[in-house]
Amino acid sequence: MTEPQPPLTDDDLSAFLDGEVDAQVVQRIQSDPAALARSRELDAARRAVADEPVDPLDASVVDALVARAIAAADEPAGTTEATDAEVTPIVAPVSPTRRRTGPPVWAVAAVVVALVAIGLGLVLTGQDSGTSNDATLAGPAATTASDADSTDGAASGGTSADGASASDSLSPEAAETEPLVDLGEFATKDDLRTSLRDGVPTTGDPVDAADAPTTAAVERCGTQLTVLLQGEGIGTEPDRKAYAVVDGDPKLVYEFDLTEPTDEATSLISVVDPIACDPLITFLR
Amino acid sequence: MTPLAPLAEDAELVRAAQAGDRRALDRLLRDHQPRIHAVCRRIAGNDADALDATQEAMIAIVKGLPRFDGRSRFSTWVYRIATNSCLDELRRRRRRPVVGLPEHDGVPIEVADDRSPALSEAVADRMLVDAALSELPEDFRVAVVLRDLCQLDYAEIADVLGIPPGTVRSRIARGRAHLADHISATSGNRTGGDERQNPQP
Repeated sequence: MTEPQPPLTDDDLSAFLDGEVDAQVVQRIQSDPAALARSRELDAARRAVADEPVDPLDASVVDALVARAIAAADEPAGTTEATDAEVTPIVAPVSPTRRRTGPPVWAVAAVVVALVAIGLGLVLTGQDSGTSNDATLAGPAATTASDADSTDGAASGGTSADGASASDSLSPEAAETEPLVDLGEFATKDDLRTSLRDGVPTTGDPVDAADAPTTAAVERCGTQLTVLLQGEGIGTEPDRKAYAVVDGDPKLVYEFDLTEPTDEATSLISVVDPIACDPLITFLR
Repeated sequence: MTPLAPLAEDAELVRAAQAGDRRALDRLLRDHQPRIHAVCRRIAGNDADALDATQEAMIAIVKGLPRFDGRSRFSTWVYRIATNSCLDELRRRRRRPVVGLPEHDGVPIEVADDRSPALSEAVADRMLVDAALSELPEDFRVAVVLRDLCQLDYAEIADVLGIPPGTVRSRIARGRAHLADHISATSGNRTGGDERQNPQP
């Protein structure tokens, strides 16, 4: 008389679907109608995940993702690197308690590199008219870079030796750099919203360099908002951007013109946190 | 979904990218971006978190590439990074006070009603999978996604997650069982009744 075998379990049936059971278990399942019925249910679940497509990202979003990732290659080696042997933690968490800080270090480093490259350009330009101007022209650029984030000193130092290649790799960001309009400080989000009654202004005082978010952060949040709000009748990128401080915290302001404006609204405005890109308020204007 | 098979030319691209070839790095990232995003989308359950996680994963890949030594397949390494980035993103998201869609001031934005009868069957099915996956405990969800979406075998999943193969097997089984029950129940509701039977093996 053979020993009674333990009943088949979902573990057995699931592994059966994956070809991860031995021949004896396969035989038992195939001769058990109840087990076969249950395995069909599990297989339906398997196919639901395997066969259901994930919508691909737009090409422009992929371009932005790749560009930002490659820009990270110019960062100095840090603790967030992944290795083949040990991989956690892969990404250093962004501290939610940081105030008045900008976007991720890699983004800051990218802009620092761009600023240094611009500074070098100014120096080289100055050399044409006389070397006595070099210190004067290089000074502000170096000061701005060090003010942006002191932890990125290595990045600016490392790339200054190869200014041309660094500038090339970051040319899209450098080319699009333009100062954000500073809308000022507001006690509450409602105050900011009231000030945006007429939309995001295109002229005004630029953001102080020490407070300014990086171009990469501005673009990143703009891209995320565009994805988040797609379907709301907006275009493929923000039409106007600005900077404001609400209750002491920096915010980015984006305005999207509606593709089909109505009598009630012509644009959509969203105010976001520049680190996480979480929207604070979003409204039609 | 088409199985996400490994790319044959990975090794050559990896070597070139490690040597500083930016074009190779660009190509490598673009080749693997769909699978990174797919993993993140299925684990995160929404587009915004998936996009964040995809970005973080790609940055982590670029920063970690110099130390990738080829002991595992590159695609497995990529999945490992994508999975960790996604789990990190979910943890960050849970810590944030503001989650999900923004507060809507002023003229309300009409958000499409996902339960609209006009919704296509394909979209409904996709949402059903999202909803079913979102109901799974994180451990089960990740294991199921790595197996059924990424087509990794149990040993590779064990390597990615750093757990024994037996635990992988158990998590996948329990995840599928949850999914089967959820999908069966929801499908029953959508067709006007619940005729689900749940025979025990």
